Amino acid sequence: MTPENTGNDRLRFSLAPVQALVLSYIVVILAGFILLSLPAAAAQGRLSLLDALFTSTSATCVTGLTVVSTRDDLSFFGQLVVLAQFQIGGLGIMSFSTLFALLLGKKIHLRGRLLIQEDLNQFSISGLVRLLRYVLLFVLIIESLGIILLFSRFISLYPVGTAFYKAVFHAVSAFNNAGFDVFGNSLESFSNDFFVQLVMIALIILGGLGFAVLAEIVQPRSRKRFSLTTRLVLLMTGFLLLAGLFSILSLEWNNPDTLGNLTLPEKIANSFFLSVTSRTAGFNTIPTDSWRVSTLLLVIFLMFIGASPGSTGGGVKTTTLAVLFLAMKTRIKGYDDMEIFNRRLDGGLALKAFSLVTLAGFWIISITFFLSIFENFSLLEMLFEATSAFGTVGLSTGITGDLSNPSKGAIILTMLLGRVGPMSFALALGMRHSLPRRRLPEGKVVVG
Amino acid sequence: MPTLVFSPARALFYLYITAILTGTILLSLPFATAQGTRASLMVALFTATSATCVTGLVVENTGFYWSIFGQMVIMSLIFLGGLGLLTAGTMVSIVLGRHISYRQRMSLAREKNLGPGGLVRLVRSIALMASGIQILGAIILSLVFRQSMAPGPALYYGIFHSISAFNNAGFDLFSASLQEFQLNPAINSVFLLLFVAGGFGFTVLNDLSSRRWKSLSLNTRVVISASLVLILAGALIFLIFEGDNVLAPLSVGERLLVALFQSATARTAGFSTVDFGQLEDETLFFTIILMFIGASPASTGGGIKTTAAVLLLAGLIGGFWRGEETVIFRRSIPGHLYRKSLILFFLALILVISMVLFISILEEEGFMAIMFEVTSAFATVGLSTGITGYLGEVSKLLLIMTMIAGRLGPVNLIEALGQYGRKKRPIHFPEEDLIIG
Repeated sequence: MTPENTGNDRLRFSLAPVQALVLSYIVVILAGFILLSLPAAAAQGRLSLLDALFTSTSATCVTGLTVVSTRDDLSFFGQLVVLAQFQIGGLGIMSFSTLFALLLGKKIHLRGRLLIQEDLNQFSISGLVRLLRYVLLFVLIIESLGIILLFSRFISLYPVGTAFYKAVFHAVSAFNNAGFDVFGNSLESFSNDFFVQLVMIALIILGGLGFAVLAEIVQPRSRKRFSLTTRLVLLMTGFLLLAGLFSILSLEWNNPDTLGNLTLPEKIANSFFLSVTSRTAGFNTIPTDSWRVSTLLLVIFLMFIGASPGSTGGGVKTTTLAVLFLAMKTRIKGYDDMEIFNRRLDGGLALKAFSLVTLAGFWIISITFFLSIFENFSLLEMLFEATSAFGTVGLSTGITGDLSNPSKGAIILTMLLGRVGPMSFALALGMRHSLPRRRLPEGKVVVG
Repeated sequence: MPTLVFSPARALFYLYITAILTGTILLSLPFATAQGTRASLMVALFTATSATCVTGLVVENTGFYWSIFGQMVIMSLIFLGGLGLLTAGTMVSIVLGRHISYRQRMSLAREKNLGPGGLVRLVRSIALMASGIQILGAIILSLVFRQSMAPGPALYYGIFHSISAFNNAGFDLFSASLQEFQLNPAINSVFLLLFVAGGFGFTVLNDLSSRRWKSLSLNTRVVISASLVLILAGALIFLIFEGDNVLAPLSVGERLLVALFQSATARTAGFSTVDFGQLEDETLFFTIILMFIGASPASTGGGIKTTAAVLLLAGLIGGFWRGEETVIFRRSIPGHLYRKSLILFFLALILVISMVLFISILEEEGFMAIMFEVTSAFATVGLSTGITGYLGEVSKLLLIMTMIAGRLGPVNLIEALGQYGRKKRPIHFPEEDLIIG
């Protein structure tokens, strides 16, 4: 083979899984879009095409930003479509990312592996089916538990049928970190209901840990120690949740619009809920626009980081943040290698993490700028909206419904990119293999 | 200079702190203010930092609050800070015929982001070039000011503003920056030339003085193209968004002039011919981006620098994404440079965002105003929407820290605070993979 041919092969193979990922999301979004634009999906009349597309994208990407009220503007059928979409979206991202992680984790050359798959088609299909079955089982068990718990509470508030429907909708929405609700005001009516808050928090956190981590925790392994990813995910999740809780608590302690008039347990519960929901569920127990500016900035930061790899949540991921911290610590200490938990990390990881965060930052800033051209909201609100869309969170200061059409388009694009972007990025980089090719003479530039 | 016992980066850090403290003491003297009363410690510290770091943020109007002595102190701090304190120190050593130690060369290399070879020669040409340009600028400005002033003040104003402009400081002796000269072509163009030249960086000016485009170094070509693109893009954005706002009463030519000036000043001079408090959010937002990118390496300006921005872009969009080498102008860029710019960008972003977070906890000002102020301090710009004077003491201290961090550069700062020298563990841990993204 000539070097030219090798180059083409490489391109094709490194793009194929990414294309599959992106295409499958687009297909689900389009299917939902068609269903939601039917008159049957709307409570009255029909949704405008843009609103249907927005809702469909938001649901499939498990974001939760809404331009129409899920409770009032969608019919029961419409709500079911949305429910199905975020269930599929959440499942999809879990299985896709787990599959990718498995592929990338193997020592075998990936290109070789894909070639094997093409030769022995059976191998990939059976493996995939087994994996999907595991994921499905997991999701079903956790969601059923959530449904039962929520139902036991809702039964005292609503008639049986409504209670069950609400339990199903919100348990699924919480586990998939979607943030859609059929109460009309998210969970604001439950700001002093510890039980509902606790169940939702548990579902959100479990969904945000990711399938690989959950499987490793549940599965009794012969080796005592968890994998590095699992340990790092647990450490970062715990750290971020507690840091969020204490920061929010101290910032909002006296704010009469939020925590000021609540009792101590309520203060703690609602702060913790915000800390959890920012990464990256999108429910709220207190109206988002009543938090202080500094709290909103903190929430933006949490939304940007998001959940863990292989989970239903979005953002640049907890492990990415951990690698960034490690890289900086390594540099300050003057060590050669990044080390954590008595393990060494490949230097290339830091580069990946830096690049991912930089690209994500570029995108969010560009979209914020784009929004600011068309809208008259404050910069903070638009930055919040753009980050929420990118992190597939769904929190909003309330401007989503008032956005103009170009802005809605930009948010739709951001939701999709935030959902498939970081994963495709990691995948495209993970599969890259440097090839010997003509190199240009080296040039020097002064940096910094 | 006695032998340095600190790391090059830390030595640089102490040098700037010493200069700032000296400036603070001088500005705290009773006769440093026009009133003859002692300035408060915070005002003196803030002004000394702002001058040494060639930022230009002020809590008291330079022209009215400070006496001639105070203004002279500020001017000297700007001159030394713009040249680079260590460059200035080395120049003194050269003049005195002293030996320049290797450690001093290493610190010098940090200040100018260059390798340790040929530095002394560079220092000499930098000092000559900087002085030459500033003297020339002072003469021209004095002649322009002479039209409306007596000879004495005209000369003084010429010198002060030439130094302030070339060093991208942004200090001025007027009541509201250069707003009264908004449509004065001479003032506009002289200031513009001075701070753009200063923002190119000494290595580029050195390179430019002799050769043709084709034979210029990659660094020079990147700096010039990036600066041009940024200035034009900034002017275009300004024209678009301010067309029915601050530019509304002006003719087409005047609009172009004002837009060009505001775009160029954002990187990172800090003079203004319009009131930035009046601008649209979009314009402020884009200005924040321009300020963050800032001037070019080894220049008098701040920010993450044009070369880092170009490298990031080239690396992310082009080479790195496709798995090929990073290429700019048909030259391959070594991987460690790309890594360095990523780290620089990231540290700068973290610094700015955390400062915005802290200040927004302390102040009632809007998010945009705070973001603008912090970025301006970090990139040593000096533009402000007008909130600087109203900030609380703690916020001012935070801004002071941001200015120092911005002038030294976040990477140098991290290394100044960290331990010197690479340590190696006797053992390597086993490698394990991690999922990202």
